[in-house]
Amino acid sequence: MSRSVHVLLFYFVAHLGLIFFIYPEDIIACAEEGHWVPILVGFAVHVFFLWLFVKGLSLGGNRDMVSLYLGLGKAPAVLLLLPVFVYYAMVDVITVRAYSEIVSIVFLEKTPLWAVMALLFLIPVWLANAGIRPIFYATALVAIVCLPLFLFIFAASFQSVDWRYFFPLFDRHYGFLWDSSFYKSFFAFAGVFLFLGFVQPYFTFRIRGLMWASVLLVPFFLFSVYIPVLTFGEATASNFHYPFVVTLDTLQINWLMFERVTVFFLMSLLTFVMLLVALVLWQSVELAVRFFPRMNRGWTLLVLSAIVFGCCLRIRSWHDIELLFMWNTWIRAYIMLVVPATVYWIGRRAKKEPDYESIPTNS
Amino acid sequence: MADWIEELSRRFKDDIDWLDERDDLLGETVRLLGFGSLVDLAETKSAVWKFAASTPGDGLSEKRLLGFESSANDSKEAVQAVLDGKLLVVPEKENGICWVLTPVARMLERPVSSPNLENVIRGPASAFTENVDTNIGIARQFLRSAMLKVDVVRTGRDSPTRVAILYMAGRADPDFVRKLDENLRTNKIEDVSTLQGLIAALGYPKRSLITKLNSTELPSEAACMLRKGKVILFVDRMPYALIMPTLLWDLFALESDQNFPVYIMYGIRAIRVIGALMTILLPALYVALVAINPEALRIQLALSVAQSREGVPYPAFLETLTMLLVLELILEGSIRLPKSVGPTITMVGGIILGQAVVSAKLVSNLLIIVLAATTIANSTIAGFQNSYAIRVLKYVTLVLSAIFGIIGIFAGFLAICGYLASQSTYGVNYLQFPGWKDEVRHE
Repeated sequence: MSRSVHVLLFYFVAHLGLIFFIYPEDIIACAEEGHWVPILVGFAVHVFFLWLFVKGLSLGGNRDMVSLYLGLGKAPAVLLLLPVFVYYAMVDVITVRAYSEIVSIVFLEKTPLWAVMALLFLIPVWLANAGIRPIFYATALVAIVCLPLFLFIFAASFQSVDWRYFFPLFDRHYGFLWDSSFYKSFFAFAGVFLFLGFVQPYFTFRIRGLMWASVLLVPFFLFSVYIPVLTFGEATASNFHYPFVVTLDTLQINWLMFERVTVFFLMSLLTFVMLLVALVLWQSVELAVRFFPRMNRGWTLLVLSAIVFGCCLRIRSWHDIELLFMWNTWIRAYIMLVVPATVYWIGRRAKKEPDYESIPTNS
Repeated sequence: MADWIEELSRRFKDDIDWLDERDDLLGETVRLLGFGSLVDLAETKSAVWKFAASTPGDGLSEKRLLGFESSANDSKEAVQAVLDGKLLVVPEKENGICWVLTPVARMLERPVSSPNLENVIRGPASAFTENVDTNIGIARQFLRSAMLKVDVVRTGRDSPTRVAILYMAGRADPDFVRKLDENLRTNKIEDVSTLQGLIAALGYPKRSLITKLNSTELPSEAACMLRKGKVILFVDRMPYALIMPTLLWDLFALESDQNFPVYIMYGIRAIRVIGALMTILLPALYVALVAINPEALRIQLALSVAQSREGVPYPAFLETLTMLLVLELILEGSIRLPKSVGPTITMVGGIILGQAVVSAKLVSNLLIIVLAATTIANSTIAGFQNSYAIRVLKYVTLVLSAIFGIIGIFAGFLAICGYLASQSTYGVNYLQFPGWKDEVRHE
């Protein structure tokens, strides 16, 4: 087994955590038939820019993203990375708020929302304070326990699918390209991959391994949308809020002592999401501290967390979250397209420079 | 005679076992200084005479071959030597010379015997003793390799204790050994005779739940660890080897497992993993399913659970907490009691837990089953010191599950994983898999 397994595992499970909730709803909303086309188009875009990003990083001599940008000078680096910082803050707010809402809907109706949010946020803050290595090591341990649980329930969710709903295969209008839901669905891609630009001094990874990990994700992207569609039909599935979760609630596993396996499915994904929030927080602090080295890590994290949690509390309804989603579409596009492209460009430029020196990795 | 020797003699004069004798050794008058409780003087004298008679040459200074190993130059060295059980030989004529003789020691040690704490089902059955040198010898017997390196450091301010560092050159990480050695030499902690002191001397905070030093009584286990590139410490007066760095995997794997067929070994280890998981999750799951998320259970099961709790007058969380407390008391009590009284506690505890509490409707039947399973599961973990950590950690999930239900269990589990992941020993993470090197060392 390769040494980069921690990085790849994190990439894999963090995506799993994001896929099954908002993503299916957006994809079902953006196309009436042939859902695999928007899924694969979105995925192809992601993989291309992912490749560009990691290639740029490796050309730049296996440095982390911030030092690559700092090569341009401090002011341009701050300008270019400011949207990343803002996006990270928004990712924290949206995930914590949205997932608390799901928890609240599915099985903690009586617990006040702020308490759920506090739980879902405090543990990531604590993890972020511990640093990037503990986050990755904890991911491995959590995955050993939660991944089998997740895979079991995922496999069981095929229980009442009707494969005929797979047709019609094609959507002739390609209307999804003009639908805002399609662009909203990129949330599932954009939130995770930038962490690869931060891991370098601590962990190494191989590009080929990463590409395999992303290929492994394809079935989960596909079936997160297709399981509700195949179970209920497109017309019904499009009415649901969190279609995949609704599908899970219909599962009947007679030989199990549990009535609602949804709870366990949600919980395993929620732990993955908490790990993601932890890493995103850590990255935000890292960004701030790298640009302003006099800032204290602990205090920065504390202030940032207070702001994020304050924002979470301010959001009153699901409608506000949707609004936030719409607002950050542009930043998301920036994260997905511009950042990888600039990293690739900087990496190539750095390689051509005469005093170029690659940091050796011992992988 | 030098002043400092007089001073030494004055210092210990009041101790009843202090030995200050004049004797004639090979025609010279010498003064013998030492502790009668540590030195067997009659045997020592006869050994010296025997040696002197069989060696050519005369005069003391030419006979420094055997036993007269070194000389002390100041009072500090002399005090240390005397406390270590050596005999000081001071010729009256020559001024300022003080030889240190290794005498025949009194038998104060128990012989190498079978282990007390760890049971061996299949494997060698000798165990370490309290003496560092004996332990090093045992380790050398179990690992006859030129690569085995031994170093002894004296550390501790008030009562300097000998700490031996053993590792296999070429297997152990040289960086790790260097850091360990540096810390032991530079950190002057008052007392390293307890593990808390030793951990402080190694440069770690005492507050961690996870032990930085795994211990084993079994030389075969220690030898295997050395072969795997770990470092072993022997502390004087501690009858076990301390293994560094510690890994989570140590909770589940013992080297003696390898004396079983491979699949049996996997089975045994899987049971230990399940044991650890059950300890952490089971009490919390009970509270969550009874009090907060009963809808997750199948309706028939939920009803029977509710029925078993009928008449129990307080919330599930308090019920569980009280019974866990009783269990912890029994566990702790049975350690303290002498072996002859121990069974009484077990019996009383068994009756209280098994029958009386349930029939008095103070707790539910199901809880007794859950807690019994938890306690049994907890004791499957390899190494008693490790089972303590797991025992404490189960309260994290328990408290969180009482507030948040099942989500609390998962969050607690994540917090525990995070806590374990944040532990490391000189750059070796606690959750690292055995045999994997960390990518880049930073600490």
